[in-house]
Formats: sequence, C-alpha cells, structure tokens
Amino acid sequence: MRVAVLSDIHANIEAFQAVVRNLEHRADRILNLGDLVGYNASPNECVELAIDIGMRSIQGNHDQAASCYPHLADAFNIYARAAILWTRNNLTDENIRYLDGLEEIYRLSCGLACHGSPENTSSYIALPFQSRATLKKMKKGFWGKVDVCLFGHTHKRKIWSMDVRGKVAPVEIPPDGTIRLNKEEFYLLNPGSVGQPRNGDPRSSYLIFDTQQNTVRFRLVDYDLSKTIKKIVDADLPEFLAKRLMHGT
Amino acid sequence: MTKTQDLKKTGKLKDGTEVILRPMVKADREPVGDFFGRLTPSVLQYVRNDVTDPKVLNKWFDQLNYDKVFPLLAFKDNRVVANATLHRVAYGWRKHLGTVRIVVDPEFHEKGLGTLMINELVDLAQEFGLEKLMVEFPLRAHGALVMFKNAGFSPRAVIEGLMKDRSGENLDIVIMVMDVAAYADRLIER
Repeated sequence: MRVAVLSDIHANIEAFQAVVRNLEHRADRILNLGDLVGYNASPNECVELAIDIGMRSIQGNHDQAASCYPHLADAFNIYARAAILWTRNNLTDENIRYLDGLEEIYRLSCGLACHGSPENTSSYIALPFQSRATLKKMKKGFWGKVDVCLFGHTHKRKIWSMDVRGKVAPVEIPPDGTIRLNKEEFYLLNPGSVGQPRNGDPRSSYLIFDTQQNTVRFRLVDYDLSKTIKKIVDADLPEFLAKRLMHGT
Repeated sequence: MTKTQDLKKTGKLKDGTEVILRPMVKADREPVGDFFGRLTPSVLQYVRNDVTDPKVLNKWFDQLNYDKVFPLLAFKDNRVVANATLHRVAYGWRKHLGTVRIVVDPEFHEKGLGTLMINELVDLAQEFGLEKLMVEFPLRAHGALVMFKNAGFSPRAVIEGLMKDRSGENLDIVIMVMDVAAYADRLIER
C-alpha cells in the first residue's frame, strides 16, 4: 500500500490543494500527522477538504488548542497564540467538533503515526537524544511491533534510523527524495510541513510511504504563495506569519 | 494586520502577580525610558549600552527591527518591569544562534519574571528557526546564573578576567548555551 503522509497543513488551503493535486494516483490513502489549523487563514477550508478527500487525520497541538484543550494556547508564543485565538473565533462549531474528535495516535500495520512524539503531541523529535529515546522504546516493543514511526511538529523533513547495534543517526535524503528502508532497522520519518515548511524551502513537503516496497519518497510541491499571504493580511493575522512563508522558515 | 502591541500574553509570577508580556513598539519610548531611569547604577552595571542616555534609547526606537533584535517587555500596571532582547544575524555561521540579554526591575527579582521572559524568548527562538541560544554575563551575577539555569541554559565556558567592571576590576565571564528544541516544549502540559 502507498500511503501519502502529510503534516502541519496549518490552515494553508492553497498548499493543501496543491499537494492533493500532486499526489493524484500516487497514493492509496492519505494520512495527516496533525495541525490542520493554526498560523494561516483558511482553517475551515482545510478541515472541509480533509473530510472531502477522506484523509485520516490525527490531532496536533494546534488542533487541540483550537478545540479540546484551549488552555494550551497560553503556553504558545505570542505569534502562535494570536493565530490560534483567531482560528478559534473563525472555525465553525462543526469543524471544532471534528478536530476535537480526532485521535492522538494512529496505528498502521507496520508502524505508528503521531504529531510530536508517540508520548506527547507537543514534544519535539529534533535532536539526537530525542530521536534516540523514541527509537529505543520502539526497539523494546513499548508500543507493540513498531518498525516505523511517522511524526511531524518540527515542520522539517527528516529521517532518523537505529541500526541493529542500536546506533542512532540521521539519514541523508538524496536529491531524488527516494529512500529504501532496511527491514532490520527502526525509523522515524518526518514528511516536513505542507502549510508552513521550515527547511528553508518554501515549497510544500510531504512523503509517500510504500509499505510493500518499503520505500519512502519525499516530494516538494509549489503552490500559490501570494494568495495565502494575501489571506493572512486580509485576516489581520501577524505580518511575521505571512513573511516566513516566502522563505520557508 | 494584527498590531505588534496587540501580540501579548499574561504571565503569572511565583507570588501570583500577573504581568503582561509583549514586544516593544515605538510608542513605548517613554515607559522604557522610565524603566531604565528607575534602575540604580548597580543594576545597570552589566548593561552594554548607556541606557540612561536618551540618545541611546532614541536610536533603539528609531532602528527597531524585529528580524535583528526582538525586544520583549514585561508590564505591571502599565509600567515596564523587565526588558529582554533576542539578537539574531540573518547570514553566515551564526545564523542558527541567538543571543539573549535581559534586565529585570529589582522589585521583581526572585519572583520568576526573568525565567518567564527567557521562556518566551526560547519559544520565539523556536518560531524564528533558531537552534541554539547563548548568553554571557559575569560569573559573580549568581541571580542570573540561577535564572538561566531554570530556563534550560547550561554553563559551557568561563573566561577568567575577560571583562572589566566600572571600577576597572577584572571580571570572569560565564557563557551559557541551550538547545532550543530541547526546551521549547517544556511548558506544555494538559
């Protein structure tokens, strides 16, 4: 099965639509690792498109702050907080209920999908010690048989692997974006962000995980940035949130 | 656009006092001047610029650029009670590294205000894509050492006799560093 793995769409409908167009016929199902909303100006459109295309979504910390755990916004920085308060005021009740009803973890036949880490939606897997902690638990069977853990939250595409010796290292993503996974190893896979990439490349990022071939293919997609930026400006969201999209930071 | 002065949040100190945190804007020239004017020379002894000189402050406000220096203020009853800044460079080998400076009104020392301000700057550093934060100050400023330790910084170097205080006496400088991603999610509990 080919699973298209998206994450951190963050209410950027132009980016989300471009990715959906791009993955046509390339995937059998679509999985979203959380944060459908927050930061950008099209939260309702993103929730509705997610439902329309039958995308399986899990909750991210911004989805939680916009629905079931509003107090999380108090721990957000001033920009993220301003955006999530705007989001909450602009989401329909139905779409808030949709976000509220999402689960935090999703189990695939070969792995696990989460937003931050399997243990906490808001935690980061960004540094070696953080990836090592999760990979060690995977190896010990902490969550049952899990060879691959899909995660988001950092907005940066990334692969970490643990080999048979227990050595943890980042895996370089080749220019064509395709990597074959070794069945003896454990992996953490981050597709990057659809709606607010932070790899220094403004294009939307996602991946296709072929569970039969055991391959991962990262893809980058152009979208109409100017439209997204205009919507942020028109919505009176902070200027910084518009500017960063141009640089992919 | 959301006005910068509307980007604010309320923080609670150890004694229950509530303060407002928000970025400094041009309209804050007067309360910031009052803040630095209230502080004694001993509090200001390690500040890099002569903030009691109106020309220095005018220059700060004239050259306000959040991409280079992000200034965060803490207000209590419309009075500035702390000023913290996050300094960034846009290019080169220090691009991933931010530096932090902070001055807190002595009336608010040991109440957790400094840690609150630094925590906010750490979250902003994460948002700005910074990977590491660094701070340097005299080793004998024990309050600052505790504050930065509480915020997740750890001492990485001490350089003996590198600086001089106002009386010309040598000062040992401590350099503290933190990995932003290791601490950016520390406050989030459900």
